[in-house]
Amino acid sequence: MTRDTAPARIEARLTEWFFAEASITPLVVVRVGLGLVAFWSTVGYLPHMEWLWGEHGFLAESLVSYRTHPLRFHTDAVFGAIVVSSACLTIGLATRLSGLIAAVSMAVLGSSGYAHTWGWGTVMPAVLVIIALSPARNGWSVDAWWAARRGAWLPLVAPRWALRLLQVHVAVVYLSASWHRVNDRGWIHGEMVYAAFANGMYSRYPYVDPQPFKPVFRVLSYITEWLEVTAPVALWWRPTRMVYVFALMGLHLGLEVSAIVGWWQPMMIVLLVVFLPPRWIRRLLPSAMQPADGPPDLPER
Amino acid sequence: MADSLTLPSASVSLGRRVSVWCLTMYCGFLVVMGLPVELGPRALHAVTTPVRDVLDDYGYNPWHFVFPGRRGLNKRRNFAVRYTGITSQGERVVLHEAPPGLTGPAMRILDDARTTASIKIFGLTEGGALMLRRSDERWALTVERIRRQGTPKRSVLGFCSSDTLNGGRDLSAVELDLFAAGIAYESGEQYGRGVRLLRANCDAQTVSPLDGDADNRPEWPGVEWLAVP
Repeated sequence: MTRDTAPARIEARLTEWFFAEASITPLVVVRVGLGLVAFWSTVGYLPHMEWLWGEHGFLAESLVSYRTHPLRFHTDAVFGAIVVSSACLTIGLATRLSGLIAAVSMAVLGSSGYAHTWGWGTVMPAVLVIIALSPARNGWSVDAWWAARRGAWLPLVAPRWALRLLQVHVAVVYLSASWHRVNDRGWIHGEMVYAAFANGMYSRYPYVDPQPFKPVFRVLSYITEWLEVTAPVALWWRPTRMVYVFALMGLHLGLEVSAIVGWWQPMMIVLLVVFLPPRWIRRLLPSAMQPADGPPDLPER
Repeated sequence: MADSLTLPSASVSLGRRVSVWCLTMYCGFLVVMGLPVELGPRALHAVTTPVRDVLDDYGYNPWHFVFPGRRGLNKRRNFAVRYTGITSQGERVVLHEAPPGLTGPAMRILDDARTTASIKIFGLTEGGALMLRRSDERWALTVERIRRQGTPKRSVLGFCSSDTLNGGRDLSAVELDLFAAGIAYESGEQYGRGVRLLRANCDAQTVSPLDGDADNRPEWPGVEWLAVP
């Protein structure tokens, strides 16, 4: 019999933390959301594929590091793999395989020098691998439908290790970003939202003069700073969790409405779902979009 | 709460126990690597930074797959580049503008993958510095640094030789111009400069620096164009 020692108790707590059973609903939402982000971001690149990534394209002619990159010689195959696999991942067709192919091919695209991505391309492969290996295929998927047809229900509750890993990833994103909020002169003086809004590279409203709105931008800068600096802790603390999830979703939505930074905002909004209780997700979704039938969910944890 | 926990025992499989510790180490690794360099274990960063730099050079930095990376946050207003080809008959043809038409605020750089890549190869730090610098001296120093970089030089030569980039034209030379505009935070005053940057001789396969103001500067609203120092 195992003795009641401190290491044993820590291990027991960690086992509970990673392997207690929980609803798969958040994972399913994330699978569909990330699949759509991977699909649409890649489809947007297709018109530029040859010019930018092709054998004699801009990157091949400009970057030494790209000259021997596999994407240069297999451009069609890699882009095709992402489009097909991310579409399959979204609908849950051969979810494990399609998720892993999507992750690997997005990593190949991402490693081409990051000329095309602004953050989301670096995070996507890691979270796609987690989703591919998780029970995210057990709901809203062709896999689940097919299994049900054969009378083998895929469980709607499962050990929550994948949920935990995604939660840690999200918290680390804010942890990593937050230092720039406190050691950068622009953030300390509350100028960064103004700077982003005033920058023709990012702003969705390039003809709006930002000068009269400086006080508003200053307040928004400090709100952003506070949310991102405290998020790595507040997302884990039950009393603040929901407030922060919705505040951060609002922050990313606001950024999406006011600025263009690729697919970072949609990806983060999707990933924040991992902090929502499954019953909240079900409450927010129309009944037609609930995972169909199968065994009941366990109580919230 | 602790009383309700099940302590590890023979009933907990070895596989699950190993999994728990692997998952814990992975999460710990994520947190440590996500820490800012100023807060994280300095030794780890000191050891790994050269490795990361080498991997970065080859575009295989595994950290990028996991972490969002560190960003330069000094950004102001507009940045644009233009590649112009000169045919063997002396005709000047715009081969590539980023953003298209140098439209500046009308088209955001991130709207367009080609533009994003064309701008990013100059490095956000250098481009950001050009948008920020009002001082003639510091602006000129930044431009000199860009002129010395290999990537812009290779890109100009690339437009000479690649049919994908030059549309199959027979070119004798390719020129690269750069435009940057900034905004003063307090006054809102906007200022810009357009500089002739590099010229590739397509036959000799050489690249030389150009001097002076670029022609056909974009009509960015409110921007006062300053002379290139």
